[in-house]
Amino acid sequence: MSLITGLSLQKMSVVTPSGPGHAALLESFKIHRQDQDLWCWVAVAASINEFYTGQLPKQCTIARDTLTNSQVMVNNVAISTCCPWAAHPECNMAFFADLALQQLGHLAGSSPGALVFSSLDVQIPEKVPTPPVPRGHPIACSIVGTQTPGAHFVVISGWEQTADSHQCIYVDNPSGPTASFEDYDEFVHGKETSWVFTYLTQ
Amino acid sequence: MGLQVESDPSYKIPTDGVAIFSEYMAPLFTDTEQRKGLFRTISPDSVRVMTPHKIYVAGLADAEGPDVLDAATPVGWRYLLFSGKKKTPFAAAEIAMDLENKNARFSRIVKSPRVPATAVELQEEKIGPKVADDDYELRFLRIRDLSFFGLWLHCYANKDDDFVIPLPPVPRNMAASEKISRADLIPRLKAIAVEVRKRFLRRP
Repeated sequence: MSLITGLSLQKMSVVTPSGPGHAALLESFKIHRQDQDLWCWVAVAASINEFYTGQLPKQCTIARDTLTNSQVMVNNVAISTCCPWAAHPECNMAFFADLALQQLGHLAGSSPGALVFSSLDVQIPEKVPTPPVPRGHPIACSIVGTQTPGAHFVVISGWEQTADSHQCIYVDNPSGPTASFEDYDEFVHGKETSWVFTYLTQ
Repeated sequence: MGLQVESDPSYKIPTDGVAIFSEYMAPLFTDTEQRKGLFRTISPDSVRVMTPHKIYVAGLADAEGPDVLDAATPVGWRYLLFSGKKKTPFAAAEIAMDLENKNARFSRIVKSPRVPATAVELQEEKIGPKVADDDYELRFLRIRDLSFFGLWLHCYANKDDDFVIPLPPVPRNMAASEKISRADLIPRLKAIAVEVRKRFLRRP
């Protein structure tokens, strides 16, 4: 098997930084893939619940509980169940991660806009706390594109300031799922998306 | 002939692209007291990079319009990263650019099922003789609003010969590794866009 004509592989050098940087990462946080196309809000809440409790709830259960508590109707019919998820496409809707987090008891606060880079350390401290104090708190955030009627929810699980002053964040996206290491400024107000709302967790 | 990467004057690979993202990568290969490196099992000396492809993005309104591929805009370049002689890439690096293909800057390094899937789809045996016979440009198409990601093979001679290969997880009305013509892709993405538009709810 070989790559198609025109594509080739070349060796590259990873640049050694000029010194140690600063960083913190919640290594035990794991993002789970969203079960339905529009369930980023559910997958984020489920993954955060697992981080704090070790229990991974079914996404369809979170969706049902949140949608019923919010009295969501589809074609004038109240949602009564979303399980199994594949049998309930009517539950596949974009909704609000903070309501799902609140339902699970993991919403600590919310605010419009992005957190400034220096304040990420408050949620995910560089200095590792002594147990049983938790290592830190994953930060849920909503991002929007230029044409999106709603938001997409992702989680920030770490940050890194390199010795060369590059500011980056670790982002976990339930679409894919995808783990990425992103330039902070590009993530906050990039050409494709902007970070518009922040949800602190507990 | 075959897949063109540099002979088209509008297709200028940024000369400093690799240098830009390589500056950011070092922490990912090393452990510290505060965190383990995302790629700690990979030696930075073993990293190889594939010829990059342009990233095109479109939104919900573009997908609802007459031709989502015409509406898509370039935002940067995507580089697949391999370790040693492994045939599966471990990550993709992205740099952002302006519309004029200027002002290159680091955007992100990504680990996702779409990364290895890209390399699989680009194998000569998999993609078939069509690409080898014409002059195609490889592009990465991202439509976040639809959770759609695909490889877009753009035909220089006739855009009607363009085709797209969706990357996993693929939407319900497409199959993995399916080569979807431009004419067929547009209505399928439109159908997804209509569903997405219906399913964004207002806050209670």
